Amino acid sequence: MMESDPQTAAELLHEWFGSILHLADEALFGIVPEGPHRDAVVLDVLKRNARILSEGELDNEGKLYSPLCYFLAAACRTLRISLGAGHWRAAVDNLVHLQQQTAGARAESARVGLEIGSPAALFKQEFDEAIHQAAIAGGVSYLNRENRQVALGLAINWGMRLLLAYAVDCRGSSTGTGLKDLGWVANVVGPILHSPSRAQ
Amino acid sequence: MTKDLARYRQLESRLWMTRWRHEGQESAEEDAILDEMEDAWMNLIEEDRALLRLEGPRCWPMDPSSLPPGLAGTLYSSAPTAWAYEGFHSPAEAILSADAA
Repeated sequence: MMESDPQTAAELLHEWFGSILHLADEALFGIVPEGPHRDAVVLDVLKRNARILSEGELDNEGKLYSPLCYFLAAACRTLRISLGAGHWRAAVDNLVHLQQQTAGARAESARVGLEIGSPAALFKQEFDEAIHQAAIAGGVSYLNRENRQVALGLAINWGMRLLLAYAVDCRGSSTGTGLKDLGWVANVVGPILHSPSRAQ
Repeated sequence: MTKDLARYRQLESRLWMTRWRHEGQESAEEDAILDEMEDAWMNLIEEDRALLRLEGPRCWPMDPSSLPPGLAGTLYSSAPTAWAYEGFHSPAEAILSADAA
């Protein structure tokens, strides 16, 4: 069990995502040298994984982990954006707040016969809509190019939160010693969600 | 659009309306317009003629598939209104960061 400090978690996640980016650069995008061909590979990875995620449903087995990581890596690369610890801190805080809100709203929503869904489900809805509007998973977007890029930025924003919420939901798919996989992400975020000081 | 083609288009519209008023039946008014169109046709450059030949007959209001000239060209040309995510100056701004707070 790790510490339940959000700032420490954010720094750990930032470091972890750095290794994801490095891996993607080396093994995925690096099949061709820098230039238009590499840009095309990045775009292919982005679109392929956006499609997989858009068509995929939330599960408890971690099937969306790889596409989500590849998507985030390709999207950051496409927009030339670096995610810092501050971005991960905001994502962690967002998840903590949303979990509290949904827990509070659950009974109320049941009374009016509505299912509001888990934080992962809510984040996935936003993520799906953002990639749809970015026109990278098929379909038509009415946004111009500039705004499609904003939509891609939003997809990164929601994708980070989805990843954290999804990891917590998949807990039990576990991790081996020394691995930094989905189970590890859950171990980083989980204690913060279950910390008594944050459950008020 | 050339001046002569614009005139021909006007005549097409008039012909369509005339035929519509007479419920597709021949009329003296129609004959006069057809004469004018023949005249106008002679003045058209070859590119305009080729364009009109490609379009085929378009002045038959009693044919459900025929739209008034002018309307046919614009019916599908209006693009859907674009919308935008408001308040973002760049994609980076769409990703929330605790550092910016």
